[in-house]
Amino acid sequence: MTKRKKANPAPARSARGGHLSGPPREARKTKAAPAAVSTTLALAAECLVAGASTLKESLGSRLDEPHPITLDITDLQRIDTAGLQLLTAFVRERAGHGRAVEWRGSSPVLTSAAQLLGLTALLRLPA
Amino acid sequence: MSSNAPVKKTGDASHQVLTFVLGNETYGVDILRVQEIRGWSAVTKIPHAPPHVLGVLNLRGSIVPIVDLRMRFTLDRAEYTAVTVIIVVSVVSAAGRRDFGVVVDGVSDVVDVDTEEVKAAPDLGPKGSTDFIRGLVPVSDRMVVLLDIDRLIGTDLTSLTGDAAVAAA
Amino acid sequence: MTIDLTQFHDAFFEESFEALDSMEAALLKLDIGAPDKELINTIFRVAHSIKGGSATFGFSDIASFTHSLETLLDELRSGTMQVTLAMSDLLLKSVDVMRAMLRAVQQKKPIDAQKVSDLQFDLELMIAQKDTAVASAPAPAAPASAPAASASAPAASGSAPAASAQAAVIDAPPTATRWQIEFRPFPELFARGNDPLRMLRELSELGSLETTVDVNALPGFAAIDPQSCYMAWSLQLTGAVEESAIRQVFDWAEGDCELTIKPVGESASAATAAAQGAASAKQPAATSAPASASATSASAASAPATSASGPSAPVASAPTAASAPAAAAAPSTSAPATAPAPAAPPKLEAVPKAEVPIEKMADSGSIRVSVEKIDELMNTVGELVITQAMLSQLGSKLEGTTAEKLRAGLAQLERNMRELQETVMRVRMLPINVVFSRFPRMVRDLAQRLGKQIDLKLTGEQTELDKTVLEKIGDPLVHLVRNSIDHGIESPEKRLAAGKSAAGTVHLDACHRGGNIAVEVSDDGGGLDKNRILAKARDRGLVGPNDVLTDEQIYELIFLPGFSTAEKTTDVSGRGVGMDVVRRNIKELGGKIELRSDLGKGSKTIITLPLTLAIVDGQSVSVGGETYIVPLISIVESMQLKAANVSRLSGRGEVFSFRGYYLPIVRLHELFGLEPRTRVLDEGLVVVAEGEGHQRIGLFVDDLLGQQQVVIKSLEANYGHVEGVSGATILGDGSVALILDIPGLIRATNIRSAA
Repeated sequence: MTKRKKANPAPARSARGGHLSGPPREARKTKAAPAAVSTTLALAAECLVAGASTLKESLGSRLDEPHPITLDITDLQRIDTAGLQLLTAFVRERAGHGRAVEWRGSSPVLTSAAQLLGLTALLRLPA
Repeated sequence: MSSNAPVKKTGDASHQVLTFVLGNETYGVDILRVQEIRGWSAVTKIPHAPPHVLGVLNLRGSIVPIVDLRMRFTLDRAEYTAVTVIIVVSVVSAAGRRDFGVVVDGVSDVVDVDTEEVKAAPDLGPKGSTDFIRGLVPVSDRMVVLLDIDRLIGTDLTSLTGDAAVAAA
Repeated sequence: MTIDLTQFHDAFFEESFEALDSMEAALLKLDIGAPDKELINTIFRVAHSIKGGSATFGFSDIASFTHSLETLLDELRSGTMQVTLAMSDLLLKSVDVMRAMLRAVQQKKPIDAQKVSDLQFDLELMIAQKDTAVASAPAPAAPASAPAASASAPAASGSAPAASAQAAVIDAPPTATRWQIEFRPFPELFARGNDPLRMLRELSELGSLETTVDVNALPGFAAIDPQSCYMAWSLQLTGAVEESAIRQVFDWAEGDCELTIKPVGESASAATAAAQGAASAKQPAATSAPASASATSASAASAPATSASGPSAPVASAPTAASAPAAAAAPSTSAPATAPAPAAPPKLEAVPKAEVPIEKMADSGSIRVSVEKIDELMNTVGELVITQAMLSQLGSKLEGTTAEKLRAGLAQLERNMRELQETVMRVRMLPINVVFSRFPRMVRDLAQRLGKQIDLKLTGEQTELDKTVLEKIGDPLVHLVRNSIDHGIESPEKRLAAGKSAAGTVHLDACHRGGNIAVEVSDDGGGLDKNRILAKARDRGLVGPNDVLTDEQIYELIFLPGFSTAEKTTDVSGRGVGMDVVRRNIKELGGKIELRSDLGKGSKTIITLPLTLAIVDGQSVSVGGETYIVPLISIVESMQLKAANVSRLSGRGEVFSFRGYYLPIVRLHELFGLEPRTRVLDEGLVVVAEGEGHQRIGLFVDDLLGQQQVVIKSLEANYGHVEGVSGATILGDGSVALILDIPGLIRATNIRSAA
């Protein structure tokens, strides 16, 4: 004789502290100099399609920053078209509103990728 | 076997417990761990098993060990009759999930237990550690002993003895 | 929404390993003197597709190595280099290296970078020597690709060296063409795992590239979907490049973009003619291309188009998940995305990414199915068998005419079930050739290394085994074959001196034998020297100085751990860890292994395996009211004892005489703590059962019940391991019976009698 008891759903109680899944978050360093003349955003080592949403968020939060923004690319090691697309859109949008984007550091990766994709001018990369 | 009495509604911090009778006491286990309840049927003995492991049964195609809780609690052995009941529970451990059947005298209601009403378990003296007792809670006119099924049955049945304390977690 | 490309990794690995197998087979078949063009094409395509796939997933080390390999193969393919033995060896080594790299990446372990770069260096050296080796027409694109290959040499990180930008400025040789390429990706190009940057980089390695980007479709920053591609490119490529080479660069983006390639300038007419030729050759595929190219479901695209694109066959099979990356779709259609006019692209149909089985076009209609699904199927069928047995049993207890009809119906059901069970079991079965096919290469390498001449004979390759058994039989067989070659077969000189042929034969055979599979490894080498084995055993104290052993018992000594009679251990075998592990592996599969030998003539190893792991043929016995199952494979004979044949030997307990030996009697009721029907030996029955290595015991039981096939259920899943019990099963009446493990029982008995 078998009787199966159905359990009522238990009150939701997450077993672990969080349940975020998604692309691995790359370490982002955002140094905001308080009340300074320019803001510097350091790009992570990888700016690829998998983390593009995150990159968009970081850039987006600075889109309307009135002071000049400096993009620090010293740590950049890998970038793809999706990453470059976002950077291009970012620079272009700011330029359209007369807001500056400058580049700090040098990244042969970025230089060569931008050149291949024909984006050097749009990104206002130093020649 | 009694039917499901309507469960009383309590606050948010409550969970449901299946209560059952063993000897003179009423115990409770988390309903979420209960797979099914069935009547007694003859088990297949396992060589060299500890005395409270009666044997194994076929449960929907799985081979499930059956444990006599009376022996676990060192109560006197009872006769297995037509109304003896087996509660099939899931035990979770580092090794994963295992199913066991525990033999009890009879099953009672499913009740809502308000976490706030649970009192700590008293020291049961020389009978041994009470790791497997979560606490005591009053239900209707009696006290229900809430059991931690993971600790009660433990992970390694083959090495448990009847009056042992809690098995390794 | 973010894309996780790792979901496509498994399919990539699986297909790459398969592709490497076919590359290896093609290399072994290749006749150096008169190489078959089709074989060379096959080899090239494998390298090309692995390169593309690994680039897509960012496995840059593999991509880089395969790129060098592909360059060499391209030379071969276009006839600018000829096949030599050295090249063939190098290519075979490349297969090994690629396998190792894939495995390393798959298991997230580090790649042996030294080995890779060494081999890559050899590849490039060979490519560089091409000009000295062959004096013929200028090679197209070769100078451009060589420096690019070295530029993309494996680096620790995957960063693209700045050198690739330089590659774009290489001077084009005189026969240069200029191409105008319009590359307009669809928005979901990124989501399909494609990266225009990679494609443009590849283009830049073919010649000098000028890029103009079109960002008109790029919305305002806030409106951008980071996973969509809004950019397009107009490119001018100048170099000694053929259109097909350009199209190949965009292979992976097939169906995810609009692509136009037009020649520009004086050589336009010549190039157009070539393009026309190429286009018309692809016509059959092209007609289905526009429609299929636009479908978002890659699976639909690959099915019709694949039939026309023979050349891409090795990689035509796509993973079972229909949301296959462009990686799977692309190589299967060599037709350009837009064949005729560069008109507006066909509108994308939103095809739901449901589970669609992908046809593998190489053979006639087969489907790749995950092992989990088959396991589930087998479980369900196993349950059905049990239920049917229960019904049959209940039916046998009923009375009356209706009961008769019911019983007839149940008998029919039982026949149906048996058929269903056998069919499902066969689904999991594969021909042993899957394992045998490893050996030609292995034997060739090993023979070369040891300076022996070996003829490998394979028979019974079509014999089918359960997939799981197949997977585990490989290693033991490899060990046995190595033994034969290393220790069994003598050197050619010794063989000739002994009046044998210079080449020794190693023979692998498989066949069905009495409900089991028999796999034999035999050789016509020197055979096993019993005296040496005995001496060695005596040396190690495994055998007493005065013990007398039969031939069989002597051969059995080889299976003892740490035993090896090799004069000196080569690094191939003879380490002495082999045979006991082999036996253990076979035992885990429920089988057994025995050795036979003829001194001077050869040896034979016979492995017997059950057809499947999930089911066992058993003899039911009853002891003390409980039913146990003894696997038939272990049973020698069942009999009733005569008191006269039973004796008591000191130190060994009760024994009985059987075929000239004394076997111990195992009283199961004692071992299991049961109350038997009788304790008198000649009132019960004895089942003579054999464990490992001809160790035999007599199991004393109450009665013999029937013989039946039982489904093996795990006792350990919920309970644990019990010595002497290998598992459990569910009988027709729903009750549980334990399945006995004879070797375990023997061990348990030995321990008790020793105590």
